[in-house]
Amino acid sequence: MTPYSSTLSSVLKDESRMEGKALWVSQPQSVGELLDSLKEAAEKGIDITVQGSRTGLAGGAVPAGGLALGLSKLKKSMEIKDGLLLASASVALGEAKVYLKRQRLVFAADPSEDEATLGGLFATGARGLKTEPFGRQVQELLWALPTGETLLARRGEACFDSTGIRIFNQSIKCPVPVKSRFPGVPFQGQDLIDFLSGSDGRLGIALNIKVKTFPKPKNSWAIAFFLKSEAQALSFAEAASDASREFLKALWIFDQNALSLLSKSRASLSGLKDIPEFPSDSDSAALAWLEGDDEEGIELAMSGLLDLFSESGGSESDTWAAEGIEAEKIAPLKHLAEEAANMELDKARLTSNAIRLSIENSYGSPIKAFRDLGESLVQGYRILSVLDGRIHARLFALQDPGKLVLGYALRALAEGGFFASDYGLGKAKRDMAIDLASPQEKECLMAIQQAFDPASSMSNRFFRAAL
Amino acid sequence: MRIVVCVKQVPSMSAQMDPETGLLFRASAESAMNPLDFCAVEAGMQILKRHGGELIALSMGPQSAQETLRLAMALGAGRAILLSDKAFAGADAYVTAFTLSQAIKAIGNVDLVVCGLNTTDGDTAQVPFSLAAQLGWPSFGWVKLIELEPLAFVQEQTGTEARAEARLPMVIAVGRISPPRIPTLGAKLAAKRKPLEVWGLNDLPEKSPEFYGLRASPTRVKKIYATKRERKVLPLELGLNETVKILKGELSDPKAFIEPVIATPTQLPDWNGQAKSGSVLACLQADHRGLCLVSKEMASLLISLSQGRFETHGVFIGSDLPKPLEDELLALGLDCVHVCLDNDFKIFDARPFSEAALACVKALNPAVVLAGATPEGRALAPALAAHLRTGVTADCTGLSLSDNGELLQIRPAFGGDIMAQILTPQARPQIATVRLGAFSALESAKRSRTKIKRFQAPHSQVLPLQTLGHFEDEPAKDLVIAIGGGLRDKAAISLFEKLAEKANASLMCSRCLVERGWFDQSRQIGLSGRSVSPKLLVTFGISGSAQFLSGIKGAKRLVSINLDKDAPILDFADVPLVGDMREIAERCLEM
Ligand SMILES: Cc1cc2nc3c(=O)[nH]c(=O)nc-3n(C[C@H](O)[C@H](O)[C@H](O)COP(=O)(O)OP(=O)(O)OC[C@H]3O[C@@H](n4cnc5c(N)ncnc54)[C@H](O)[C@@H]3O)c2cc1C
Ligand SMILES: Cc1cc2nc3c(=O)[nH]c(=O)nc-3n(C[C@H](O)[C@H](O)[C@H](O)COP(=O)(O)OP(=O)(O)OC[C@H]3O[C@@H](n4cnc5c(N)ncnc54)[C@H](O)[C@@H]3O)c2cc1C
Repeated sequence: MTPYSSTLSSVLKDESRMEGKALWVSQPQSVGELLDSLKEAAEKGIDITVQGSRTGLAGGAVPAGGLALGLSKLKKSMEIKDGLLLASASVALGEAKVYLKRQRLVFAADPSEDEATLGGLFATGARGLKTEPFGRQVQELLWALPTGETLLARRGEACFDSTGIRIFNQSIKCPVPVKSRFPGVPFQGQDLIDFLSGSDGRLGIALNIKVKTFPKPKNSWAIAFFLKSEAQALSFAEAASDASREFLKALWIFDQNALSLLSKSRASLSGLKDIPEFPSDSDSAALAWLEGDDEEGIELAMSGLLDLFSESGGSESDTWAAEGIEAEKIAPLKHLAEEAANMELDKARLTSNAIRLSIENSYGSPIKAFRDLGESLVQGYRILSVLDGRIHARLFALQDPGKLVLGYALRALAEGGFFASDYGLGKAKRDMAIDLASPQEKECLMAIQQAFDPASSMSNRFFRAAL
Repeated sequence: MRIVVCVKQVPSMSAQMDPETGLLFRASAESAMNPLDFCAVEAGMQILKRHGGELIALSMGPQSAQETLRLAMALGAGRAILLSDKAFAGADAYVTAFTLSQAIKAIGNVDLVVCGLNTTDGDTAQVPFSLAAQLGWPSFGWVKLIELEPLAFVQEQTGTEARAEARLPMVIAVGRISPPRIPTLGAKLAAKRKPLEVWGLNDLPEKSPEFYGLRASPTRVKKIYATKRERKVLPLELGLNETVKILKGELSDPKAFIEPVIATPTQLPDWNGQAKSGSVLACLQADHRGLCLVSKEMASLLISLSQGRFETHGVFIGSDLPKPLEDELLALGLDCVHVCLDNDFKIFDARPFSEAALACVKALNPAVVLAGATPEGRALAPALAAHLRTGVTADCTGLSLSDNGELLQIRPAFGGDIMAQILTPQARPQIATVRLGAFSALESAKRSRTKIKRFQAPHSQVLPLQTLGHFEDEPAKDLVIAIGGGLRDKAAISLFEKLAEKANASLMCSRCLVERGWFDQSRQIGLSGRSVSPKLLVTFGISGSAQFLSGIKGAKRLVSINLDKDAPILDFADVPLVGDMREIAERCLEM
């Protein structure tokens, strides 16, 4: 642990563009050093903010005073055994992907920020284009508790029931709901590993993970469908998501603002350099990802999609299709929208949390939620993952987007929706989550935090103060 | 109009290197269509749409290259031909171009051949120009814009932009034109079922296997090795004051520059020091500003390669020889410069220029011919080589010449990730293009000795060419300051602008700052930006991706400042400094 100095100012920020404060900085190189830092901080009552590569979009890695504990220098290791990748949490996603690629393997989940650490992806509950969360594939986890002790969790060994969970030889008692509306609140039957994924560095630190890998599918396709209206795009999406479930692994809708943001960023985002102009007068777009080993089956599914597209009013000439390695040109459109949004913020020097929020919400029919959000958003954009109802939205230059989103979230929760875990709650969404939590949910949060982090060194900055 | 588009299947870059060992792992690399060949298809499609006719995609490669051809069909090609035969394997650029030329003859009545400018694997950029020369057609390379009516092309060359009206049949080589189209879903699905022709040796007019493949190839790859990452100095964690002191010393004391190791003559000790055993020749180039720097670099290179064992010659082709340019030629220190002046040679045109160079080469019979790896040199050399049935090693960064005139040529490939040693064992002369800034231009002490001899050369008609304008491509200064992602705050750019101004340096950046929209692409260093070869490069907050590093290979000295002492760039830097870029720059300006 060294005292913070301005030479280290980069540790104060992450990709949410929020800025925090730190008194101490530590960048341990070994697990031993890391555990020592944890113990020292707990003894001295110093708050800890865990940091991976600080690429998070919700501000979870932004320190709030205390210690900024960076994991990126931790010794990295990777090994594949029986189809499982055993990796240290400090390994960057890009490094892991290259390592897997060499053996023609892939993760089932496909988060897209290559600089992010595996630990950070796990902790934020990250997902990518496809619906699968990264954490769901983790089979084994070596976890450092805020006290400096470690815990080995294996999938299937510990689950929540209605009264809590039994771990480290003690029972954590709390009224576990049947369904969880926030990451941080467990639900009945939830595996401990899934619960810890999405805990945002509040309950400890992922040190090593064992995660499933899969042979790269023989065929993969990315297809963009451009439509003249949002109504057409939504009707196509609704039909498509019902139709080709076997191969369709992702289906996203981009609203008009998302498309124009991408168009506008063409000159400055290198990922867009090889992408032609969107077909003229397209108002919305759907981006589909299909994969599988059965070539004929996929081709059939795609012909089916094309028919549905025409029925929804689309014209064949307004499609883009790319296969295999070429598909990697189109698939990042979703990731690029996030990057474009960040660039937009930088250009306008909008760094305050109040003007930018990401929400992930789904309720009832995702299409309905998407429409509702469209009605209430004046400036900003929406993209929607149709298959699992995740909506990503960015709000720009609004007076009080927080209020707007809160209003929307209330409505979503009232209709049975929940905060999807990807991106984590971070700081951007935590206050809203706490405001919206029921007494039962708060009781759960408290009990679990008390058990994992009795000294409140990792969670203090987070929920505790607010609860 | 019958248009042939040449497309090559290349290994996709993303799977090239093992980040730990730095070795290539080809087996797992997926294949893809060469990126610029998408632009070639796009260009072909635009022309086809306006002028009508037929577009044929042509590729030489293994059976798996059918995928690439199917993609070309999905993009609009009506017909696709794969040249695949055991006899074709192992072809170098000259023989690849020969094989393609045979196919084009077999197709018949072709009006226009569109190629990509270069590939991402072999990256010689020679096939289009060699192909044109072997077909006896004009060529126009480095095309960045296509005018459809009348059909004309705009290219960017050293310091100029030129436009040529089409003179069919001809070959064009396109660079990045507007982002190429992406196939529609219907077209992709339909292309899967379209017939595709596979041609072998017997389908070509020249049926003798001795003209094809490795055995006919003048150049041979002797050895390939991964670019080594060798840590030069351990990162220096010195504290602010000491760091700033060192940096200021570097910025202000030019004597500290380390001259690069330049070309090496081999087997020199055995040489008896007497008779010259032949000659070596450089193709010299000038633009509106005078003699190009690469010409001076090549002259110095020839002098140090020959070490008195070979006569050193230059050839200059142009429309006139103003006195200042003549003085520059005389100052090169070569034994003789052959000058061919003709009104036709106002603007570079590969076909007639290569014919003029050919006349000089035939008269002189040199063991080695060098050209600059400029747009002009990279077009001239393969065209010249095609006339002489010899090979060209592209874009060399290292050369050595033995007593018997054998040239060992070293060049980067795969975007700089690997180096290849190349020999031209049989064919003569050995032709190479040399990378700008890879060798130093030395002041010559022998200026009075240089003779100038004039010659005339018969040549084909020139293309209807016109210069659209000169541009000062603002050559990077001797000192370049580059900043990267470590810069978190856009406002801090002004700090580095001030520092650059104070140190009389060019301010450039890495890709991420262009992506953030903070800098214009023209200031980007790296594979997708510019290569720089300053005497001193100081980087701030740049981690050193392979792409960035490939653009700074020519830098003579590298001082790098990074907060992260594990940043790869610190492994390469001559002076690796650990510290906060902003703080150091601030203090540097104060002092
Ligand atoms: C352009 C862009 C696009 C993105 N797109 C997506 C997307 O499509 N879907 C998606 O889900 N996410 C997306 N992300 C966000 C991505 O999930 C995060 O970047 C990533 O999860 C954070 O990893 P990191 O190592 O940078 O963690 P940090 O940002 O450093 O930390 C994130 C949180 O995790 C905690 N943490 C970090 N490491 C550990 C650890 N080892 N143990 C416990 N806690 C830890 C931190 O305390 C913090 O709360 C995107 C990000 C960017 C910049
Ligand atoms: C490491 C390495 C170094 C090499 N160095 C040299 C060298 O210095 N000199 C040399 O002569 N050879 C060299 N070769 C061999 C050379 O790469 C191959 O001979 C290749 O066929 C020549 O093409 P290129 O990739 O350089 O093409 P380029 O000349 O860069 O290609 C330009 C365009 O020509 C067309 N084209 C090229 N190849 C084909 C094809 N097979 N089918 C259809 N169209 C095509 C495409 O439109 C392409 O965009 C080297 C090979 C390797 C692996």
